[in-house]
Amino acid sequence: MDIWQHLLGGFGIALTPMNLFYAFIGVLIGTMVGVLPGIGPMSGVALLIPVTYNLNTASAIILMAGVYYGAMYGGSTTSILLNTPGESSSVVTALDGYEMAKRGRAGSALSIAAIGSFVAGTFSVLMLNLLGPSLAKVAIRFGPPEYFSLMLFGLTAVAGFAGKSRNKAFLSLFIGMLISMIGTDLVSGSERFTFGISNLSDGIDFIIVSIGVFALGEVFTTIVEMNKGKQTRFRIEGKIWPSREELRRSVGPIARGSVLGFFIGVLPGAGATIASFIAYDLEKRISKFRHLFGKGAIEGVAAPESANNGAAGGAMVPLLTLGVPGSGTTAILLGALMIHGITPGPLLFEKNPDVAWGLIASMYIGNLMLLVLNLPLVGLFAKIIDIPQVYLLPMIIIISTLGIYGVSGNIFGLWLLLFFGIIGYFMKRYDYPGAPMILGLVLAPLMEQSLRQALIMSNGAYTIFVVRPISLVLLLLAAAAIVVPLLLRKKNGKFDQVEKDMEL
Amino acid sequence: MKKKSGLIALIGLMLILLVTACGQQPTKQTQANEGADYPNKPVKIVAPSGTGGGWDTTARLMSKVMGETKLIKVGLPVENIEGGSGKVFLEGFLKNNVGDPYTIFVNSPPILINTAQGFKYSYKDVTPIAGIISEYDSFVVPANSKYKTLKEVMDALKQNPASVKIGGGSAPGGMDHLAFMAAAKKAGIEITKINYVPFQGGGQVMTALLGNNIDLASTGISEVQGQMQAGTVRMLAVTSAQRIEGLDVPTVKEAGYDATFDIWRGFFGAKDMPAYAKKYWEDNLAKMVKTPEWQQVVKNQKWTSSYRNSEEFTKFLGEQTQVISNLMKELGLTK
Repeated sequence: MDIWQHLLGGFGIALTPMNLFYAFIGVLIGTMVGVLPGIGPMSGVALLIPVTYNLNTASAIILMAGVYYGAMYGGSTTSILLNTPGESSSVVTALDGYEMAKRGRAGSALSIAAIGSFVAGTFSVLMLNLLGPSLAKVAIRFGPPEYFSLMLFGLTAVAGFAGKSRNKAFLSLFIGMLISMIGTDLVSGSERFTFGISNLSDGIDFIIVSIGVFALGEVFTTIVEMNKGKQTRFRIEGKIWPSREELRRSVGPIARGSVLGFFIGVLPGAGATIASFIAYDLEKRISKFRHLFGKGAIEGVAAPESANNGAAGGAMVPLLTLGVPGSGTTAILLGALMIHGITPGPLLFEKNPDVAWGLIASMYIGNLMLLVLNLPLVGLFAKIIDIPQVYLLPMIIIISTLGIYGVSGNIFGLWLLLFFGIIGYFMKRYDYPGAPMILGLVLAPLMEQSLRQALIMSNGAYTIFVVRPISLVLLLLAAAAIVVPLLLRKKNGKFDQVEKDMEL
Repeated sequence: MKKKSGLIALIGLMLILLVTACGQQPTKQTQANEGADYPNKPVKIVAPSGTGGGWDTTARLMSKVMGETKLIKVGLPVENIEGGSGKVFLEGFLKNNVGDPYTIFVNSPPILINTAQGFKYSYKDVTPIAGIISEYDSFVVPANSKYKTLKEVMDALKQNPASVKIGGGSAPGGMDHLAFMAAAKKAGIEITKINYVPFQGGGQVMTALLGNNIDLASTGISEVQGQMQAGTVRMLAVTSAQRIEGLDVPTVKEAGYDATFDIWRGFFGAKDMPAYAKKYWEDNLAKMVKTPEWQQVVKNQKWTSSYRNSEEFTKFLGEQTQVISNLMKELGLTK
């Protein structure tokens, strides 16, 4: 078949010692970028552009793409070990990953994250390879009405992130949505809730909120507890590597996370973060071990980590086949291609087959490299948990502030970080879950924007959301996600039982 | 060989970072022959946005070409200070870098648009050094659209301003929006009634256009080239004054509407920057735009070379301020 010949040609390019070297450097930098909070794949790739000026185009794109999907691997590390999400798509991983670490299963969580990332990464390249062009044609049919319905469906995931109290989860969600309203409104072009402060006119970056609420919130809580004389020190329990049981339980979540992540990633603009939230919620709904979610369930690590890697591969589909960026990072890759004199567009495969196929082939290789690179590191990273907290806590503060300042070059971001750290402390103290807030913060801007875009398109008629079939299906799914669990519980008379489970 | 040059670039980058870390404070020279040895340390080029956008790309490519062609021997590290389409940077810059000859920054129409929207500073608070390139917007429809010319679109809008869904990669008041409205205004259309669907950037607009969610996209020419080559879209007009080389598309003017929209980019310095520094940059930018290296950059980026020296650039900014504030007033977007 034709594509296999092209792919073979691609491997010919990707397997040259030089390109292998760049793929390796790329995934290595990507892993580091992912580990450092604040510096996400987007800034990682952008900072590398000047370095690629002197490289040939195929090497340049192989290097930069390596950073992109490498960051998806690295992001889980600090989420699991330090409750500090390395980038936005690893926020969800912190929920169960950090709980596992506290219970001495950090090594297992890290390994599963690496394996899940590898499976999802490879799966998505394969899909990109096989179905790319036809999928892209479907993906662009997704317009504002469909995105609105998808985001609404995404919001129903909040149920999966409620702790003891559903009301507190909703409150947290709405606060997140409100924070997202700060800044310049796309549809009217005017500023909202900025009080004339220029620093607020781009809104509040949600990585600041998530690092503040999760990482600093945790640090402050621990400091207060230490002052009360409570010394907690985590220990590695048992073997570092995942047990047979943990591996078995991860198979389903990894498979579902990969597929879900890939398809959400293909939709331009939806992204890895949303994929990770939806994957986690899905697992919590269908898992036999749902009562363990939030208390260190391996499924809660496997699913989102697979989903975000699947999405990174999926985002390559519209980029390579249509020449339109599917995410912020792919938009930067597109800009980099232009610097190298390539016009991204539907003809990329025809006009620059060496670049397109070389990239695809290198993604197979890069994913393998990442697995080989990350698994041995697990043993090393897992030991971080053994560091006494008096040393660990300042380290978390340092890497958090460095990450935030490094990207924006702006002191204001650090004040915000501190502010959200304090908020995070009180949220933890009074048992408000942090994840719904991040969910609201991620979904609300897209949701609001697509709602208003859709209404402009329809001259104000709300029927646009139900006459378009894809949108209708998504709305029905959202309704089902809310109604079905309630009906099931009532019918089975298990309502009280489930509620009790949740209070455990 | 390639491997080596990559490494060298990386090492160079580290060195530049080290050197800039040592020399942040603007030094004031008071000798008689001041400026004779300018620049004797790296000059910081600020892109007041995140990495990867138009400002960032322009700043980095300028820094790259200046180094490659050895026009400027000191390092030109690019720094990103993002926030509020340049407002955050400008506030800090005007406070902390009075007269500083060692920091220059890139900007484009937003410096005028911000002022029109009520921001307290304008281009008059800084020194326009030179304008170097322009990008133009284009009006694009899907290949299977019933509209074959810009006139057909404008006629339809005249009948009913809400009948064609116009999409652009910016909020109202942003460049893609103003570009189309400037043309529509000349066509005598009630521009406040046009259905304008804003998107975040050119990529999203193209996606919406290809998915037939909008009827016409107003977006930068560079965003559209790949699609044009593949025949998925049709470009009806470009907003430049003259036809773009290598592009068989009429200008808005040729289509019968006396409007242009120029997304220029240029460099600025501190208001009281020393005359020698201003002249140094003006001269070197003038030399740079003539080099083959820069012309290749312009070609790759689908930009148009539009060098204006400090005097011409300042005058041009005055005219553009008028154009933009009139347009925004009419659209009800100014305070």
